[in-house]
Amino acid sequence: MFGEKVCKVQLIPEHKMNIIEVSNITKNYKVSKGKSSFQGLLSSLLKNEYSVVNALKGVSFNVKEGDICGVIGLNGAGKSTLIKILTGAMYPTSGSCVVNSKVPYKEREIYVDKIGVVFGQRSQLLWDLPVKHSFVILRHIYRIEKKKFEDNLEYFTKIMGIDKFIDTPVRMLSLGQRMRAEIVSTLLHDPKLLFLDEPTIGLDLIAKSTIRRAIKQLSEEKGTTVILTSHDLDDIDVLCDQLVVLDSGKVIHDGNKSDFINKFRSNKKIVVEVDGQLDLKQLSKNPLKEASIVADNTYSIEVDEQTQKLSEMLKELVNELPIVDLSIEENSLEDIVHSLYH
Amino acid sequence: MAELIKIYLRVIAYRLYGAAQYKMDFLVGMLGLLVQQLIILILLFTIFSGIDSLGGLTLNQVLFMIGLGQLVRGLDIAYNDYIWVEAFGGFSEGSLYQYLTRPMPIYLQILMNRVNTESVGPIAIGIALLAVSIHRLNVEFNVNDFLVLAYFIFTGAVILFSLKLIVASLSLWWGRSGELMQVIHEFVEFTRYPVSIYGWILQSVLLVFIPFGLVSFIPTLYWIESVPIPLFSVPAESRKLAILAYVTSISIIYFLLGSYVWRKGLQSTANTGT
Ligand SMILES: Nc1ncnc2c1ncn2[C@@H]1O[C@H](COP(=O)(O)OP(=O)(O)OP(=O)(O)O)[C@@H](O)[C@H]1O
Ligand SMILES: [Mg+2]
Repeated sequence: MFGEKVCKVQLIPEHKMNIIEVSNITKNYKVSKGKSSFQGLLSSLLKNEYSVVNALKGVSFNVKEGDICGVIGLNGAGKSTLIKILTGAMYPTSGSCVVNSKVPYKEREIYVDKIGVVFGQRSQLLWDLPVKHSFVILRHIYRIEKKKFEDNLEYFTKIMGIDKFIDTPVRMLSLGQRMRAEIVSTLLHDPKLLFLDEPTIGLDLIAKSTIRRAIKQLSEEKGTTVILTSHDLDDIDVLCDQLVVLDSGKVIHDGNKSDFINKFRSNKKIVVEVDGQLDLKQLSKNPLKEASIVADNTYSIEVDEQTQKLSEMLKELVNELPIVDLSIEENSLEDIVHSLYH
Repeated sequence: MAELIKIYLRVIAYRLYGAAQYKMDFLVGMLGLLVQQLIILILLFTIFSGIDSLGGLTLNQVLFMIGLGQLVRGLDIAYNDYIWVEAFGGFSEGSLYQYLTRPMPIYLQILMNRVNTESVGPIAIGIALLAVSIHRLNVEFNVNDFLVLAYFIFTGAVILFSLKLIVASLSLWWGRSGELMQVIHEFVEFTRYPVSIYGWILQSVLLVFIPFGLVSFIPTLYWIESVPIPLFSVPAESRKLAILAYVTSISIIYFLLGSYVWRKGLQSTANTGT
């Protein structure tokens, strides 16, 4: 009885602590202008000739313990840079962050003991050896007790569905299989935080959904805080409690997912191509009056599904216009980033 | 520290177990190194068929020197081989990022990545040559001498380690430094013969700047009083002490230099990104 009460108190979300606090982080990369790397070194020593890339321009946000936080943004927005700072691999130029009560880049060795990092584009597993082999080596590196290791191996192998190829050399795995093995390898030591930089990049729908389901389960059952970057809006839809949108090194949206869904994901676009002879102004009812022109004779119409019925819009369009082609599209990341400015 | 060594040994043991699955690779690699060693020895015997001493050293003394050199290099190949990969690849594809996100010193992780089993060849030949030459030298080799020999094996390993560390660290700025490492490594070839046969320029390179001469040649002189130490003049009575001091200080200087450049390099990548 008593135990239950304690449990309930802990489950109230207001009691969740911030496990990540990022305040006003900037990161400037100096890019040497010299061509070859050796020349680059010399010229940067002699003339200080370089250009500066402002990858992060004052980024602040917090993440609550146990939440899944998605960081999205277009190419070059600064997602990987942010992850590198949060995982302790890089210093910020200014500003600071505290993760799990530590400053990552100042107490690297102690800090990384409690985190897991997956880097979508690069394998951390031993290429020529069976998957299991890498796991055993990680067991030693993280000093995982044998019992805990075996329990975790069984648990994660099951939720990621990698048992069929755990004895196969990594080089023989498909990208999706490898990524799942990759994620398992970062979880065996029970990290409090899991950082995933584009975990679903290049994967097919089935692999993506397996990974999403497993991350969700991990978060629910183990209470692991997850930070993931992605280009894929579905990742955010399915997984995240919190969403941070980065654009050119700035946070342009920080909030919970449902705000975001209501604002953007329930909206759709109808794209129609009409017969070129059409004179729009002649039409009695003009369904295209809100439309924007995408290309010659091609128009895009926003539909807010909360106030408009998609089917009625379609009926209207088909009745009124000499349509050559028609498609229904979801808002893309570009659309969302664009509209966040307005 | 003890904890780290334990982890290191466990991982190494597990890697050896993994490597055991590639017996063919191992045999081929071993054979290659053995042939290489044999060629060196045959060359040496050919040289000595015409002369009695080379740079003041007899055949047996040269065999001792080569034995010591092979043993030290064998040990270096055994535990410190993977740094070549990182120097050539310039810590490519985020391998540094991976090291940075694991709770261990970075260099130890690099060492852990490979045990080169082919090193068995040079190590065995090194020990054999040392045993044979010590036996045939007809000098009294007591416990102290063996301790000094063990010390020279250690300092030799430190010198090789430090030189590789310095050059590999440069790849943290340059992107890669494998080629430079290769060039410097070529100088090891000069230590197959007594450094005393070379001119002063090459001698100073081998005894100060790329101090491979301190791996086997200078230690050998500890036991051969008739050959003067090149570049330095030392009174006979303090000769042994001088050799110990010389070898010790060069090892320490290069080790400190190596760890300084390495730390600077890591700091630089923490600023510029990996
Ligand atoms: N090591 C580096 N040196 C110099 N500039 C860099 C470095 N790493 C990243 N940049 C630059 O910083 C900016 C942010 O890059 P970052 O990799 O963080 O973006 P990203 O959001 O992860 O992009 P993507 O979606 O393509 O992975 C880019 O303009 C990039 O060119
Ligand atoms: Mg990125």
